[in-house]
Amino acid sequence: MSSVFKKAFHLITGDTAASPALAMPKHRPLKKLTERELIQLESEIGAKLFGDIPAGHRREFFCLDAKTWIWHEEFKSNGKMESRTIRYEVHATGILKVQEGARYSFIEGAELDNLVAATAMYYEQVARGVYKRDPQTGQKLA
Amino acid sequence: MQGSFENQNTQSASSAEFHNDDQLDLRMADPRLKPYEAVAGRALAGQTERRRELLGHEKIGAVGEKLDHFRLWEQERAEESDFTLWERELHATSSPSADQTGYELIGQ
Repeated sequence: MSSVFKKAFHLITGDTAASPALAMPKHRPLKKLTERELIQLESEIGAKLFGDIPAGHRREFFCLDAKTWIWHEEFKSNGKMESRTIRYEVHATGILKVQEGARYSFIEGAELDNLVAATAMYYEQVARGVYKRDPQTGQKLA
Repeated sequence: MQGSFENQNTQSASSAEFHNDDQLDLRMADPRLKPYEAVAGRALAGQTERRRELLGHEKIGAVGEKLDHFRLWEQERAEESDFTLWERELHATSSPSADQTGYELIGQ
């Protein structure tokens, strides 16, 4: 429907350069966010779930897609920049932890419990903070 | 039935109550347990742990699917709101308090 109105606007005004001054939202322009941008917004929340981020550190934690979660951190150690990326994949037989150096293992016990808790908190805070939706019902918040 | 874990109401030490994981752990360490009960207890403990692991990954999978939906809805909503934005822009330019609505005029 939006494309129809755009076409109608062009037909009426003839020239977009001659269109009246447009009002744009000050703080968050109403533009379409790409999936990548949405994930970046989510990751800002995800990174803080594990406490304050120390100075000089960079941390990312986000849901890449329905079957994949990413943990990434960068920090300086002995003057050298270190980084670590872990991918958690959801499989029918469990959560597969994929680390650099082709290390694979299914997580269990406390690590699994912690990841379940982290993803639940991520969902709660992202649903409210990014999408303005009730995490229980998925409906828009009033 | 003596020693059966199907009977969950018996309180005696010789019967097994497996409806509570904490009780299960204590009972497995109980030296008064008959060998059959200890084996049954360990088997069920294994099942319980496995069930907990499966539930864990099902929960994480469910969260991922919901987030996928939110992202899709957000992108669809942004497309639909182009029309709404256009209407609001026209209204805002004709309103004397346009700058109080959180919008700023560009091109001026």
